[in-house]
Amino acid sequence: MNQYVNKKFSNQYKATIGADFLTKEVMVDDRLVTMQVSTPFSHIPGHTQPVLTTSQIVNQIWDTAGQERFQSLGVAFYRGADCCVLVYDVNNVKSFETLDSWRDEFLLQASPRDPENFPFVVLGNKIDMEEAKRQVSQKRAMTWCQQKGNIPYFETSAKEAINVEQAFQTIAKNALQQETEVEL
Amino acid sequence: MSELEHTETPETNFDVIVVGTGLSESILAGALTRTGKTVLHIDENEFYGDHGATFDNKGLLRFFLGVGAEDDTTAKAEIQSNYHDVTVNVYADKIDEIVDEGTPKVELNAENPTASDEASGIETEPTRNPSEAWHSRTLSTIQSFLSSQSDAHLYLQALLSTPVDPATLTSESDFKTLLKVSTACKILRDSRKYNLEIAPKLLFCRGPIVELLVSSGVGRYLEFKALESIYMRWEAGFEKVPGSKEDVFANQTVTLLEKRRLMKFMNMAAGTEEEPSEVLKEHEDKPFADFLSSQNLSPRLSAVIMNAISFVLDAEAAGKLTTKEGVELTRRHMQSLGRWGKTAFLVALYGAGSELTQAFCRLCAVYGGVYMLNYKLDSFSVQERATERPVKVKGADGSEYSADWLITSGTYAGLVKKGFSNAAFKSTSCWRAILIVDKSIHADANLTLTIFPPQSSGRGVVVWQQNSDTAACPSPYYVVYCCVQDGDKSDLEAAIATFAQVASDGAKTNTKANILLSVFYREEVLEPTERWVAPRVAVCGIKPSSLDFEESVEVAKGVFDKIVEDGEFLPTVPDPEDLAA
Repeated sequence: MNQYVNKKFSNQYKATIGADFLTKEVMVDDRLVTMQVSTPFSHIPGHTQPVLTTSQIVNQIWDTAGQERFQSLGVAFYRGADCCVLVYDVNNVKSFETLDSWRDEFLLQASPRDPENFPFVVLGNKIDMEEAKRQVSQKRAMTWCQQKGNIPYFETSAKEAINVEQAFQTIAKNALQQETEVEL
Repeated sequence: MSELEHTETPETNFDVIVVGTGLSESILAGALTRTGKTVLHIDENEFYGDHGATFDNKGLLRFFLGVGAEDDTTAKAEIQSNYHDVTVNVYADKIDEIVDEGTPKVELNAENPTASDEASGIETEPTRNPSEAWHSRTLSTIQSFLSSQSDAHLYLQALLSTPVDPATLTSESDFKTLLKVSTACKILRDSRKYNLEIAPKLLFCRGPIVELLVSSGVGRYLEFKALESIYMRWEAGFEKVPGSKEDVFANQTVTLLEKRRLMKFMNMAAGTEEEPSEVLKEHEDKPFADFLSSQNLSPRLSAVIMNAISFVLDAEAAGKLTTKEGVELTRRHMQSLGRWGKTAFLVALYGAGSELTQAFCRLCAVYGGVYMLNYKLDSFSVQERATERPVKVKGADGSEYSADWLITSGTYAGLVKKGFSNAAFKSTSCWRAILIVDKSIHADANLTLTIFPPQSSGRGVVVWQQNSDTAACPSPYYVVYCCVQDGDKSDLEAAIATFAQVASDGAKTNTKANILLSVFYREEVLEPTERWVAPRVAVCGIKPSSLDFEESVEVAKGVFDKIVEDGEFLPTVPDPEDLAA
């Protein structure tokens, strides 16, 4: 996400420690949305990290700051989320297999009013690695997304800025839509 | 939660291991990673907040009564031993409220157009039995709840003091039984809409914790509402405690002479009057109570100042309080007036203890802190001869973690005593009650604090009220918290009887709030007699019943200063934009 905000990428996780959210303005349907974006998901190796957007004042994207490692996220983290972004590493099958439990965990903790239609976005990240290392096929990921109520799916590389812009357009749009529905 | 696997082998060496996610420990953990220290933060519970945690209804039953616990034989968390004499009771809601929005109420009414009329007729004639339609509707509310959740029976039985087998209920059953069971079902069905604090707190608007939230930037994770009113029980009614000069003059029950005396005192306490400071000096070490009467303040106004402005609620302590101390406590309150809202306090949404700790823990995590909740511990020790990382923390799973320092909350006193023979603790306890009621206990406000001055037992009672404004519970209900330090359950019951009642026959009353759920418990908190139980091991213990968290900041800062020499305590977080640039 650092990539998304600053159009550059750093391999140093430590470099962004302390960055809780960053802001980025996105145009969605002629509306300027300020997104607050947090530390880069792509920098923590080997595990899935859910990323949440909330939009009470401005759209915020929070990441888990590593607290999910021992299932220690805490209920406060989920408050007011308008969209949940699940990120896995296409080169790590385990990170894909935990998507199910992360989705359940999110729905349990955030308890949105309409769980069936709550917006999720799935990102298969790190597609910049060599093809031989890939453990989860695009087809397998898309099938899962379809089964879970047609979750939008993007294959991204935070490192090489592939699809990141498009993914965040969708996230911002879905989060906004959710917010509007809640207001109604 | 249990399906999620630990995906990484954790590092086992840290600068500091913090055990317990109470507020002092969480502030400390955040402050430490902020200076670059590596921190492992552990809690045996699956929730944040230690003895200031927040639960939904089912979580509360799980915590206090062990309902739905996966396995009885698993090790109990240390915190469980701090709660005693828990009683939970559910009482019937008003009869016109027991309509499940989810059931086809309209269709039923269409078949029997008089049903809703009859149901509302109960309000005025409580002796009449509800209609048949009401019976079947109520029964279906119960049955739909029981079939919706696999563990519904367990929680329902825990709530009902006399066991009721829902399978034996029919539309012919006694309506009082049906009403009670359906009220219990409704409380459980809406469980997640409740955020119940096991140790509620307010925040002084200019108190140390609010200043810290502002200066550190941690406040951006949190939401607050201003407390609306403070009341004091006096004779047979409730006095509104003035929060400003305007309040003093608008008060119609105080004579003009008293108003002038009260203003004079308040100005004196606020330090805005030059001349009377001589008077204060003269009384400095003499009893505050005597000073108040020397100012010609009536017993009522003296009680307001002593109990509802200074918050000295123990008759014995009030007798010993010096004028200097009393004026300081008054000033603490007055300095917090006029910043936000009409009182000196803020109320945190979703439960202060739980939210504040999570905010500081998030700060800690953002700066690299490692979090392990729901992790049972085996022992603490210090290897005296080790040159580095001498502190050892062993988990029940056999893993060992090493650090230079170990800081725990008072909750882990048992493990601390086992590991460090010098450690000694003193125990303080308070009785608490959590009530769900059907309307506000004060007609003109939702978020309130009510003070009951000490009666014959010598212990005053504090009563907080919250509602959907702070996400404590769904509308139209209210949550009322009661606490008495060192007192008895009967102190709480006497206070509660002045504003709430139990109406088991579903009759609507316009006088007092009806209680739907009551939870009584005695909380024991262990404070170390010496904070540092070993050269590198400290225990953060704080008094359970203080109104706000100011002590937590002091405790965290004290421990921080020993670990980090000349380090800055929670400096403002930098703008993330600058960090990324």
